[in-house]
Amino acid sequence: MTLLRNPPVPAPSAAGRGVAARAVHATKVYGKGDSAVKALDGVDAEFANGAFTAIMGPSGSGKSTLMHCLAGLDELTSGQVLIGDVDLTTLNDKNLTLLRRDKIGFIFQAYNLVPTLTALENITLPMDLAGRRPDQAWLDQVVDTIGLADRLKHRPSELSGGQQQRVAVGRALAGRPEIIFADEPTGNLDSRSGAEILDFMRRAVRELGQTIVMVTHDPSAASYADRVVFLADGRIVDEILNPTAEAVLDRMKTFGR
Amino acid sequence: MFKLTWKGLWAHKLRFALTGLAVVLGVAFMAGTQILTDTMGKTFDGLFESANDGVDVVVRRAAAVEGDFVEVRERVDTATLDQIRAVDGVDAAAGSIEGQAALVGPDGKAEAASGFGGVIGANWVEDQRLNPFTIATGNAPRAPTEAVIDQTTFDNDHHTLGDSITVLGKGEPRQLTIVGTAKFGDAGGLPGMTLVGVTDATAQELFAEPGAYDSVIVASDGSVSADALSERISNQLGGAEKFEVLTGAADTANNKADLQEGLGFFNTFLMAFAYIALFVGMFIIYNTFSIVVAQRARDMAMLRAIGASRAQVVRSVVFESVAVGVIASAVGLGVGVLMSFGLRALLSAVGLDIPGGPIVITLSTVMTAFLVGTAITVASALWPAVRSSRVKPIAALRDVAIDVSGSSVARTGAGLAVLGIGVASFAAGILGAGSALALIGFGTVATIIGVFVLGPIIALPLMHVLGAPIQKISGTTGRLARENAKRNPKRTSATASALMIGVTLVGFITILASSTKASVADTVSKSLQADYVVASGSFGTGGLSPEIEADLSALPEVAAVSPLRSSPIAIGDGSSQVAAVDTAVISQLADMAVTSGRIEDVSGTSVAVEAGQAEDDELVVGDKVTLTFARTGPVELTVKAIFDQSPPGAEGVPYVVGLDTYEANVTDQFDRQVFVKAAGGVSAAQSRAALDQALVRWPNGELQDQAAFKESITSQIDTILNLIYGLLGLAIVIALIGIANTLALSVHERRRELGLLRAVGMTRPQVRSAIRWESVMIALMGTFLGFVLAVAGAWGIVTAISGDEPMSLVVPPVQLTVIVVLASVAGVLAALLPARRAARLDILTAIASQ
Repeated sequence: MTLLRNPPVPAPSAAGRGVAARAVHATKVYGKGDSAVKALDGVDAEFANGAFTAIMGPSGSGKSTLMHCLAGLDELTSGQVLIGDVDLTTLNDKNLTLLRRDKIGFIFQAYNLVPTLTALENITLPMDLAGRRPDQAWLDQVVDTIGLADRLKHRPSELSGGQQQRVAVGRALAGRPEIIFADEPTGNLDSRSGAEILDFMRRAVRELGQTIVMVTHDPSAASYADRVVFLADGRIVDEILNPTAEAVLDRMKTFGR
Repeated sequence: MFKLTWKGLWAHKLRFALTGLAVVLGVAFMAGTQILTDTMGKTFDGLFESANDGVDVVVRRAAAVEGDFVEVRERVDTATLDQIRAVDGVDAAAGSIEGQAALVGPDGKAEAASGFGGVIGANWVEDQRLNPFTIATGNAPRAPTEAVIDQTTFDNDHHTLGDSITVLGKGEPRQLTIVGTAKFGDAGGLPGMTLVGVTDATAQELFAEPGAYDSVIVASDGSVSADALSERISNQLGGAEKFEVLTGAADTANNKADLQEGLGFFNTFLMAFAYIALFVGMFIIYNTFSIVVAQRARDMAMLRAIGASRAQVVRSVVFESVAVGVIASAVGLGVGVLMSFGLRALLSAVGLDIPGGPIVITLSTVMTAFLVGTAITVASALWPAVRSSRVKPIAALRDVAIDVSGSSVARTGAGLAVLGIGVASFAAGILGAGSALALIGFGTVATIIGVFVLGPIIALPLMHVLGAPIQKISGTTGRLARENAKRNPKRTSATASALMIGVTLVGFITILASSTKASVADTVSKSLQADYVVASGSFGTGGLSPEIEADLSALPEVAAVSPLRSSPIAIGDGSSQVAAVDTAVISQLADMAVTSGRIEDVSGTSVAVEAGQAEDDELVVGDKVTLTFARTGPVELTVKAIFDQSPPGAEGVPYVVGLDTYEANVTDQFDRQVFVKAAGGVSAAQSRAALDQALVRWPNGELQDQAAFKESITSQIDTILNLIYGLLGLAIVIALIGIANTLALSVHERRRELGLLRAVGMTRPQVRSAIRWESVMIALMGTFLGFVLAVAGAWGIVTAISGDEPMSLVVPPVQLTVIVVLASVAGVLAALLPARRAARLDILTAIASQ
């Protein structure tokens, strides 16, 4: 097996949909000198508006690093990351923070919610931090979608893991960000709750036109995406459109680790 | 387990350093106090020894009355001195005079005495064995107008030989010429004291009385021991009845013992504040260990799971506390040396100069520092240690839940019980059942602990209320701060409790001082009828010369004049005070609220008694009472008046006599102050001008109108208040370190959550703001609880006092507002570093959960 069997191809940008996020020669090096490790090795990638993209790869492939850099949580060593037209590498901490607050939604694997706030407060947190009033009609729709209307006053500790993750999805959707990044969103859930969350995410893309980029190592989770990008050793090595779990699993096996 | 202890300490060195700081400061205060008093003691002991070096026997009159601060003693006359000189074995004997004096500055006013000694007016004793001073330059005083002063004062005031100085003693100020300077051993003089040495005759006129000395000092010819010589002299003088004859060594020992007593009082006063600081520190240590242990619950559980016994877990935490205690005590001891200088500076800032000397660090200081510092640390960490061992091994496998407990029936019951005991003991103390100080002290500590135990229960509703306006002001960050302050009520309340102690004490003395000032001002307004008071600035010995009365009476602008003199007396086995006024005119000058008899009738062999004293002793007009004076011994006086209100300036003095009685029974006549009533039809400007003119002759007389007189009394209270504020400052600083410590630990604990908040768009300023608000809320909780306790305590004391004399509770709004504002500012300051750390958290590390 060689990495060149499926040479990297630029992501197909669906006509008229535009690009929500883009990495240009994204390189990230940890450490210095002999101990330097290239987590990202000149990644070029585009994430189309209104698409659900999964990033896959074995441990240490750089998939989380890529997501962190795309989301403005980490800085590149060289190259560029753009959200819409904004080049993140030119932003300072304050502007990065505001960009995350206003244009990006997050769903993490765990510790997604602030334990002292209620479910509803967690959902509206980014808007509250911005001092913006949420769009009530939209908020109602989001709450309706995640199906937690009767639990909004509860604290995270009073919710199940699946419910907590649904609140996280609600928070990501509520601000209508340009793009949502999800980092192993089902990693801590049982398969049924996981499927539920993935279903919400897919519906958000299909029905609400949301853009989602998800990092996962679970082929069945990836199968919910429109497109799967494979990363290995800090490079994009392949991609599959309209994946099935089997196709993804087969592809993963070829990494042969 | 030892290795584990060290690893644990090292891993959390910053937080233990912060914890240790609380111990360091408390121990430093304690050690600093001891070092300061030991140093002072050593310095003075050395002085006493050198002063009596060469003196074999000291002779004084036995007739003496011991007051609270001063001793009044009769003097030895010249005939006695001659008698002593004739005793076989006496080589040399000299009369010695050491009196209070004042120097008059270039502005014509007496220079305010500062420090322990002030200005000592003495006779220059020619015999070098009997005089610890030696002439450094010039020569000894020989003419009545000549003087020597100590070299240090001479240099500091830039004098040259032949300069003229104005010295105030008895009578009018005297112009003297400096003919020489004196040094004390190798030193330029006595620390903190100015010496004015004059001839015997001048010293008698200025500082004693003609033909008399304070004491006679004797050098033996070596043919007989000091003991034998003193016995021989005593026999010659007619035994111990009339004269107190001591060896020089015994006199030195007495001086040292007196000083020890004085220093003991001083030491206890400062120590009280050191213990307060340590008490506050205990809360910080308790809290830090609780948090650290809770954060390490998983490690503990893991240890238990792999087979460590509960005792081993307890021991590992106790070892940590011992290590923290020992290290902090050692550092505290070092800082204590610096603190002793700081305390000295603080005391000198409020006008109490303390002589310096080589630093004395005794073994007992070192031992106490280590013992107390370590014991307090270990005692505070004990309960957290025990609690840590209760963690179930299975907890290692679970996520550690956030501790939201705090309210329980047991806690409420225990808290209320301790609080009840505290309040009851406090009440018993102020109502005078048993030892007031012990009961009040115990009551205060128990009350604080009671509130501390109840704290977690109070914290939730209190934070809810305190946080409401903050949430209004600051939106989401305020909301987060409010919720964070509520999320761990035990921690929040323990942190706030430390500040509460400081605020309670500050608030308490502030309220008490305000109430006292209001009460004094009220009393003075009611009782002071005089238009002016000429104050002398003297409390104990000395004052204005009675000749001033004639000067003032002679003014046509003046209608009535009465001096106020006072002296300690003995009554029964105890000591008391007697005051003297011109009873014929005092009712024009001060309303003494005479309830029976007439004050005008009090003269000769009669006395007026304060109503409370009369009630205690069951005295009515016509009864007899015996007062013992130093000069005349027991004197039987007839009660001719009972009064409710002592003359202003003589508050608390229970006996008042006429001037004739006072002059017949007291040797040294000084006016502590003089009341003056202006004549009718004379404008304030006219009377003031006339009085100012008359007072030019009297450099220590300060003319005060009614307002200035009140002000001078209340400013004394303010001075004490400022001193106490300064001493309590440390307890408050420790409490703030506690807030910073708790917040730093909380930030560490919440780093994931903070990472999440930063990821979803919380800016660094918002993070800092949230931490700051949380800190302010904790500070406000401490302040609020402190206020409640302060007002309650002050109310209790004021109520108890006003049983005797009317006093109402005055809660000064301005000062208390200042305290609230300062507490909030302090909260912001305490949050500075934790907020910075929180804002700087690396988001990725914080949220990395895989």
